[in-house]
Amino acid sequence: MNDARSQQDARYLAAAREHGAMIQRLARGYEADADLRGDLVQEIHAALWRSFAIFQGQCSERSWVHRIAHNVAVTHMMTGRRARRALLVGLEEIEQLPDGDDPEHTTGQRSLSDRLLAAIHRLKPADRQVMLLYLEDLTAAEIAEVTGFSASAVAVRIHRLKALLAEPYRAEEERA
Amino acid sequence: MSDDPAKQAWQTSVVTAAAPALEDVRAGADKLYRFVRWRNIVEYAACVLVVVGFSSYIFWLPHLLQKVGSALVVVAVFYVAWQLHRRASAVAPDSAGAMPILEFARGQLVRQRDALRSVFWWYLLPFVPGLLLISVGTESERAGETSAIVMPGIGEGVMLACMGAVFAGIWWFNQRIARKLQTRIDEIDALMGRGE
Repeated sequence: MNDARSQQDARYLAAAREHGAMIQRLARGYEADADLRGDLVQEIHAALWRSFAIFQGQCSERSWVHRIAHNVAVTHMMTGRRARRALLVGLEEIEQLPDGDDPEHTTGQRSLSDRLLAAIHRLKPADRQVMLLYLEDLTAAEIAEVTGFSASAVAVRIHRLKALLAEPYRAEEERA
Repeated sequence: MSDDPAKQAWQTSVVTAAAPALEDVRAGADKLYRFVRWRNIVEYAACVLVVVGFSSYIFWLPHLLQKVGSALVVVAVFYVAWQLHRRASAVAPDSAGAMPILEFARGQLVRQRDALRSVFWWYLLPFVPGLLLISVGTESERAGETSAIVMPGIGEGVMLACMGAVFAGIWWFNQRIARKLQTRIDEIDALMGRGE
């Protein structure tokens, strides 16, 4: 039993090192409140540690970590009081990236990441999952594996996402 | 790193993150155990208070039915405490043995869910006979009959309705928690690739 436990610890620690930053980004996408975000990160790590007791290469480790993290985060989001009150929309209802939450950062990549975050916070759970996974550079097949959505459902959402993300550049070209 | 500007901006928004200490992670994974243990301590403490209170009623309340009702409530408390231990006691994660920890966690969730779902039968119903007898005894005592039985009037009826509402509230709250536990069971089942 001790061997199994130390193997579980070792696999968790390696995964936490490898995917720790992704978990933080994902938590930002699901929880705007800094204190609650800390709780969510802890919950994800606890679930991840538990899950390494049964992970036997059912899928890639990357997909597994994403799946665990999204499961915990969606549950956190759906049970949160704030999310129940918020009016969430689908990807098709967002025509352009909103302005970021942080007015101090209005230029460059920081501005773009703030605008992405503002858009993510408006999305319903299914679209939010796909957008976060897409931004983490998962392939359509990996996104389908993590979310359990059909390939066509993922393809439709990625198509909408690409159009949304290209919008600032299209607008710039039109101005030029 | 992707050459897509949006992906790049997102991925560089947080590039490093310290993992929480392993002890904290393990403690977080044992949250259900610690919650159940704390809840049961509170329940057992409440049982002691109710036993002390209703035992004194056996001696202090004047009407025979009030005395018998109080004794039945005391018996009900012992029954509920035993059922709480039997159905919903906290099982330390260390006792999982060679069982995969997620399988163990699922088993504990199922156990707590089942205890909550059947809460009416083992947690609420046992108190009903004793409380009804006390109610009838109180009405009889008010009517000046120390041994005869007088059925509850409007005042006692309102009291019983309030008690019924409290019981309904407890039942509803427990069913709500049971549904939350079911969600967590479903998540584990999805991860393990099986349906219940």
